[in-house]
Amino acid sequence: MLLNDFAIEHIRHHGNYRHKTEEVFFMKHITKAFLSVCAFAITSHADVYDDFASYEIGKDNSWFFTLKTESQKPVFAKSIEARLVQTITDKKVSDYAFVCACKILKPIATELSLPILKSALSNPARVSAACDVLVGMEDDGEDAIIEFLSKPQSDLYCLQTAISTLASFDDDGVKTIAKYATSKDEKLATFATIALGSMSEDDALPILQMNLKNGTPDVKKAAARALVAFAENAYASGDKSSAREALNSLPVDYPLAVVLRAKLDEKKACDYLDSLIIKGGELVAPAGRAMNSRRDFNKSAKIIAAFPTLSKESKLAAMGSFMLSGDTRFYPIIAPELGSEDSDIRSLAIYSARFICTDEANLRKIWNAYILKRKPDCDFAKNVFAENPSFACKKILLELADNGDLNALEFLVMRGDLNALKTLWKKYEDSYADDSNGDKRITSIVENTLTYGDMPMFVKYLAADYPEKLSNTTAKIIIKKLAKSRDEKFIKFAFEEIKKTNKVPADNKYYKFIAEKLKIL
Amino acid sequence: MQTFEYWIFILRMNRRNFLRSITASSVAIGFPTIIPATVLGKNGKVAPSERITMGSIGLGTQGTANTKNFFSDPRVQIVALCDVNNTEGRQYYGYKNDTVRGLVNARKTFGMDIPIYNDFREVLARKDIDVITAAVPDHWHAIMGIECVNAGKDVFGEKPLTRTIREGKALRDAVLNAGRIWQTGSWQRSLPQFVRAAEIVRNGYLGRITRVEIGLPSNFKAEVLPAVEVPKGFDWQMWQGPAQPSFYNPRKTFTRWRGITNYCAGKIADWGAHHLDIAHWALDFDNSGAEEIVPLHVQWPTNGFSDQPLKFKVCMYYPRGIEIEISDMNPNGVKFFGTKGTLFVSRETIHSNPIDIAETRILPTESRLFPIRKGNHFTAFIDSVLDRRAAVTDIGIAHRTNTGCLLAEIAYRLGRPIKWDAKKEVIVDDDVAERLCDRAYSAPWQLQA
Repeated sequence: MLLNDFAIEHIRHHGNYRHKTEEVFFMKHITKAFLSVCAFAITSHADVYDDFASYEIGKDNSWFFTLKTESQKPVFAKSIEARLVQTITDKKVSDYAFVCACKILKPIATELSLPILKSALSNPARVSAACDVLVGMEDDGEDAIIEFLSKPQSDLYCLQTAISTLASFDDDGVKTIAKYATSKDEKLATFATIALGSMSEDDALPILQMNLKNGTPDVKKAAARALVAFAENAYASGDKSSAREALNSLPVDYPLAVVLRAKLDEKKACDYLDSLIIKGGELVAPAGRAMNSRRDFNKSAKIIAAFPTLSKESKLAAMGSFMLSGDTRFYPIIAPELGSEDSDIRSLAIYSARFICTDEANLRKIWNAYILKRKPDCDFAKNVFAENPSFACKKILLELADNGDLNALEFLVMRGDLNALKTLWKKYEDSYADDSNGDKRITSIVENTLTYGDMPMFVKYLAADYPEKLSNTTAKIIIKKLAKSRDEKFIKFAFEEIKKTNKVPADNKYYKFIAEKLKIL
Repeated sequence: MQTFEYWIFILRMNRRNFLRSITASSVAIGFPTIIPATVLGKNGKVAPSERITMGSIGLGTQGTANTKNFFSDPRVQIVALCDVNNTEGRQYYGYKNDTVRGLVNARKTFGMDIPIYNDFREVLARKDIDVITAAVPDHWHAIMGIECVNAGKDVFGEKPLTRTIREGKALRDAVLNAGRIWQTGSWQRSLPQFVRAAEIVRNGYLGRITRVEIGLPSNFKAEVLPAVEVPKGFDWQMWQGPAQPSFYNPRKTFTRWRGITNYCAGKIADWGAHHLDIAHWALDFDNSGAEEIVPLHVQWPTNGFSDQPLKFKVCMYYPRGIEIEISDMNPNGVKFFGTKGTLFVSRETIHSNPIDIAETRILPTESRLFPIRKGNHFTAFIDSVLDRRAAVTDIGIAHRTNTGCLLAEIAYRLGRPIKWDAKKEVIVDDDVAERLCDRAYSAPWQLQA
């Protein structure tokens, strides 16, 4: 299919996105594509290949973009590949030209390209580019690299580049790489050992185990990492027994094996991970992270019992997983930490109440932390009262608001309580009664909580029925609110919408004032 | 290479011995020693022994900004600075600030007594370092990220997650299997307007979503470049790392590398990591992906060192009949089209039609997204390091977003549609497209997958 035949099919198939302009657009594209095909065919692009052949860094590279674009068309891909291969074979193209050619060949290379790619494997300036093409050529690519690695090679860079490319095939390359994993060259042996870890063939396992036992320190380190990687690949492909065998070669406290050990025995995973958290040390971190999705109150007796005496690190990890579980039974265990001297622990104790605290007593403690305005506690307490969904939280806020607490009233408004919104606006209105100057705190809460959805109702305070000072303040709040959006089109649109949906006369002087300030006259 | 300053620093800042040495010396001398309250962690300050120690790798513009954020967190102590660039000159051509970056600038910014390194492996070898912030070019992300987590470090990494889809899978698996915390620099999830937008969509206030339009900045037009001599103090070989070796020119580095496919997938991944990420979040596609990706428009350069498209438009078809269009010809931001209205969100603004939707008060009992406790994307990373909860742009999330971006890149590079199986994470029946999911690595680097 030509480049834009698919576009026509796309329009037919995806009927729900069919705009007239898109169809016109595609028709233009089809015409353009047809003309470019003709142009390409006519010139036969002799110039392009000459440019390629003589290309050096710093020269014009338009040949690259021409060939790259044209090679997208299946009708030209093979001929472009053939011409590029021919040019590389016949002429002395620069290394950089070869690298650029490989970028074009990568999606289109066939067995035609193999000779030039194979010969590039022993050239440090070209091996990486050649491997980048071979890595996508399946059996052909794999065989080419195996052939290269099966012969004696002296350049370490070329060897390593080829080994890592072969490892990504994860197929027949184990024996080939294995011989390098036991090389006397430590750098090469280390490199090849890591590469074996990426391969899931069982043949890799005994070599890794041997290297772990007998290798130099660097090789042993590489083998340990590779064994974990091998075990993970085996587990992912359903081979738990090979995974276990690989892990059994490693010390029980090897940090990289923690998560997989838990996965291999899910029934005992919670116990295992909790035992690591309780013990403390460097395994707390991976154990705590692995516990994220596993925390179950009914399987947490041990850690609950140990909780009060855990180290800071362990306590935080435990609390994190308690919070994530969403199980409110965990909060009484966390609650004593509301009085912790440690800021991190105390902060988390407050914050986790947002998710799992439903009891009044603790919520009132957190309210006190909010009122005291001691940072950072008050910030986390604010999160709690803004979003804790429990009945107890709402009850506390309603009680406080009824007793005149403006902080509580503000939270209720933020939480979507329409009665609280009415109460707030009534207070706002009353604060300007009898020619008073308003109440700063109340005005501030009104401003902070006002939404675009409220605006059509709020605008009523601009009417002549209301005190001038109230209307003035209202106008300023509206201006600030609309200006915040920083989008001229939207500001104009929103202002018109607001004016439409209320009974304030269109010639109200404050409308003019607002429009002037917002520059939307 | 460990400098003299390094050893002095280690001697002074060894966490286990710090207080002991103060106390011991005061006893030996016989004076009553007054230890400042801040040292002991009083008055809300965090004692040095309790601080999370951080190594910063990559100190270009983004890396410097990221490190500044962590530097101002009292829970964090920067104990290592690493960059391949240790030059004095203004080598940073093409970026508007044209400011000196790298180690010279970092030392002036963060302190002359912090040890410096050229090779990140020396940073990772330090047992006293807890976490890493890495802001390096995309072609480094996977290999360096895997090295970091295998060394037992939690990581604040940059977006886009990786250069290829296969790297994304390898990095995701490595991070999860090592039990490490990973936060990607897709920080829009920590901005309130994006949280609000996602919650509005999730709770159905826009109705059924049919379409999303994402607008990104364009790739830049680039010129032909000559090779120039590598300046003394700049490790060009290390900068290239696993990428195919190429010639040096300063205009290829320091953000301009985003124009080169050897290092980056261009704006579609660079900014797609932000905006497609938000679309995924809002539509609950964090564990899913597109089914079909169709390039609608691509305009390629005809010359120059950048091989990214000058203009592009790609349409991606997701489950539930949702289309996501990504283009540099749309306004920068994310626009959701639903049966009850539209919502546009960007870094500057959020608005909707009807106007009330954009600021809907989401009830505590509705579906809520809780990205951060307080602070920002950077403090959120430290929160996760402490309590071991997955970060808001955790590795799995970042990988799915990045995969979407890279699929779009593959589609427009091939100039035709491709299909994707999000469950198996493979391109469907398309060996040619599958080739672009992987790449080879220059020695001595390899991807452990």
